[in-house]
Amino acid sequence: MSPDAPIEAMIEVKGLTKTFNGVTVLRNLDAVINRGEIVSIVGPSGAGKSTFLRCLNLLETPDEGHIFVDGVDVDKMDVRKLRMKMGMVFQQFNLFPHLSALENIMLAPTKLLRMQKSQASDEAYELLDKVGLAGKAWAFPWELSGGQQQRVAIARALAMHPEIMLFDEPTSALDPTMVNEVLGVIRSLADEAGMTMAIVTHEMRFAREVSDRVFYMDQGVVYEEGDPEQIFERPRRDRTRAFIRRVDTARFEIDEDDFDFYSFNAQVEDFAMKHLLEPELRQIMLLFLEELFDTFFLPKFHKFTFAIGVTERREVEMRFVYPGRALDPMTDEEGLLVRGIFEKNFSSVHYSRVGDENILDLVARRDLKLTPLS
Amino acid sequence: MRILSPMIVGSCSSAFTARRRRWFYFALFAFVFATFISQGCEQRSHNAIIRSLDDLNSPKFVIGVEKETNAFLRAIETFPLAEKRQFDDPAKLAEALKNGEIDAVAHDRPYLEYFAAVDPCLVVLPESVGENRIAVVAPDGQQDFVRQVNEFIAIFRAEHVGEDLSEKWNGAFNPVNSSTTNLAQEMRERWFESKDGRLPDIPAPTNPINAGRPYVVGVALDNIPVGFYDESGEPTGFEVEFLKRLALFMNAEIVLQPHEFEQLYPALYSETVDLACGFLDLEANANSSLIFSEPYLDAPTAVMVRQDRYASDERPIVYCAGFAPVAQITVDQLTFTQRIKRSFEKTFLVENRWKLFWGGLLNTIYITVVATVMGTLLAVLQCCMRRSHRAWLRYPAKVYIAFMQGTPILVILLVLYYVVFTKFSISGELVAAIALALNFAAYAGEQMRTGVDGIDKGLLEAAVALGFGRFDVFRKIIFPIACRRIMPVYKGEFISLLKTTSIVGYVAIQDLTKASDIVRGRTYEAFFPLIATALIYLITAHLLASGFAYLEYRLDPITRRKRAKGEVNV
Repeated sequence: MSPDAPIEAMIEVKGLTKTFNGVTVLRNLDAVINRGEIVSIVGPSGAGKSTFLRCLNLLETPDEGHIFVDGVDVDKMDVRKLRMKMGMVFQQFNLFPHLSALENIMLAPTKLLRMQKSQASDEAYELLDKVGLAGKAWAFPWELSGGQQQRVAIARALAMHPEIMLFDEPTSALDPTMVNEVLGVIRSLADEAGMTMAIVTHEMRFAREVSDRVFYMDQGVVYEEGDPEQIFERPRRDRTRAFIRRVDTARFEIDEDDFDFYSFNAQVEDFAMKHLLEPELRQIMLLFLEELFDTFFLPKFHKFTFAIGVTERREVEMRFVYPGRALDPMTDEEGLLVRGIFEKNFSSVHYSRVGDENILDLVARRDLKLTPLS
Repeated sequence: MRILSPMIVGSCSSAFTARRRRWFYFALFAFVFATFISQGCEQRSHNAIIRSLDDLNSPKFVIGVEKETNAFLRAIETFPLAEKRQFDDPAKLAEALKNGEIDAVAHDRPYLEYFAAVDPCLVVLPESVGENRIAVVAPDGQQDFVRQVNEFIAIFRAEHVGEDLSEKWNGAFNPVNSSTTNLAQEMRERWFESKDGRLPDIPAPTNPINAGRPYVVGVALDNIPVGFYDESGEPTGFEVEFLKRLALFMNAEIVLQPHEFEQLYPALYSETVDLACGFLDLEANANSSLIFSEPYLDAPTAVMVRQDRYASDERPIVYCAGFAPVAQITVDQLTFTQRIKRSFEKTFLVENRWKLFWGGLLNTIYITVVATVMGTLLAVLQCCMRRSHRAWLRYPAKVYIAFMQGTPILVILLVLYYVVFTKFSISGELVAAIALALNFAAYAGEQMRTGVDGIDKGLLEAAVALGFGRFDVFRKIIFPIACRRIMPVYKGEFISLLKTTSIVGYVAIQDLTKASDIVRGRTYEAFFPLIATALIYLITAHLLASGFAYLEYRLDPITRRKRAKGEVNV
């Protein structure tokens, strides 16, 4: 998106709700996609990403809510005109098997835009060239690889000169070796100014590089949105974080009154074993956890939550959430006793305060050795 | 049993393993199968010589009779001890007699005389086993018609010595000049003790009283010399002459409707015909609701045996001289090629019989094409109903399919012909085409449905997302894809339809099979006409199928690519 263009909503969604057989997939969803903006939609499966996308061109009829495209309510638009404005690319390519690549691309312009065959054919060849398949004009879908099929499908959508492109997991059905050729085509489209794009994807790196904005969808809503930097580096909300960092966590609600340390120890050890952490690391963890609990958290806060997680990169993360007055153990005098433990065992210690809760995020050092505690 | 008994024991013991069970079922199957085969292959080995009728009254003889004929009753009376076996028509009786399946045939003498005349290895015993009174039959409600027929029969059988009735009989019969005493006698001589066996020229009434609403008379036209087709394919024979004279007498228009012999009674009961004339005996169906006329002929029942089993050296007189084959050559003296050539001539060339085949083939193709077109339209409709979201459209289609797939097509055809369309004046060919179309639709429609249902929903979504409307999605996506998918099974269904047309002979249509039946009854040869007919079907099916193959080729997208690249020019 060019920075000086005025920001203007291309698609505005208000209170969108969609239910399938009693299961609410979209729950009062609000979102705005601006003109010329590239938006990636990420989130766990079942979050309603595809349904959201399919509601935009009315492949699914919303139960409630309003969608405005270019400021016009889609309920008041000719649905076919609306769809002609939006190109859509599907996970399963959905090329017409009885037509060649060229005919797949030409079909809609000749039928729906009443374009001359010769012109449609010229444009189709241009588009094929653009997606790197100039030599495959007369190949039939079954003669093309998945990646090639998907590129033809993109060309087919582009042939209608859409203002908006919707990509519904365009690489999910592809062999890993073919993902990049398709992403490359989408990337080059994104680089051209003017096109508004919404991309549902699981390719996080791609989403981060290509998007202007990222929607993290969960539980039927846009749970968190922001620029890629923010969503991927500093997700604000728990679920976003867990999803982005692919953390598997175990949570413990701890209450001083009936805290059973041996049971807690056993559960943490189970979790560590499940994630194949080295025995030595397990032992150290349990040792410093005991120390932290006894000297700092239990006496000071009585009630708090502790979460331990292992990321995709096999880093051990911990999070303490404790209520009450603001207290950062790294700066506060009261934290003096435990500060050494933190410095020694954790590569990153991050304190934040949200509402009346203190949040302490810790990432364990990877080179922990069994040395006597301070 | 020696193989079986350990198996049976095995089945009772606890150690009845899966392997043993397989053996057991295999042995059981083999046993049952062998039993069937041995039943079927049972040969009649004895060759007892037959001297007279009395010899035949013995359990070692099998006497063949035609179903529903009086000869059947006569055979029971005369040969209580012999085994009786029923056949569909006289030609089959003769074939069975020749190949030794049965020892004798009991039937009306005129038929048997004809067989003996054309086949030197058959002989009719001189004694008869009783007389049958032959009458015409009408459905309930045709009393007036039958009364007029009875008037005619009275005159027909009356002595006319010295009377000049030439005006009434239009010159063809003139008792003053004739050696015979009445018309019945002259016709009997003409057809059964034949002088020439040719139909005299009897004019149709010029100003019939029932113009435009003719009487429909069912006749059986596969029985020489009673009713049959002459060399130019025109109906002729004793009964045809009888009916033509009746028409002249009544000054009424009469239309002959050919039926299988065994279909005459159903045609009467369903009132498809106003009268039936097929050498029907008064006694055979006396208890029914039908009206029988006075008998117009007394026909003796006779017995026919094989010449080599007959004791008498001298051959009885051949009555049907007019039908005797041109050259009496013993078939054994001919080489294989000569035999084929002779059979070919007999089947196709003599009396221009190829015209019968050609006409039959045209009828077969006509019915096939009409049924395919109607059936396809119906199939599309049924497919749409079946795929509908509305239950009141979906369920009738389901019921229809279940009904059509669960009922034999022959039964459907008979129901349509004798029940549904009895009161409509539409041709038998059209009724047959409708029956076959209904059947075709039930199968083709379901194939269409699977063809359409099998299309990936994603494709339709992709088309909709591009902005196509429902109709365009159907025309541009569903239809071409489904067409290509359905074509192979559709072709099979079409060929199957072509072959199924061979049943339409049941309702008085002369299709290819019926034509071959007629020729078979005439030449009295089974092998060649059947093989020839099979070959004609094969070639026709292949030609029509190649039309479909061309369509498949044209529908193949690869063909389009080749054309686009200029590789082929079609």
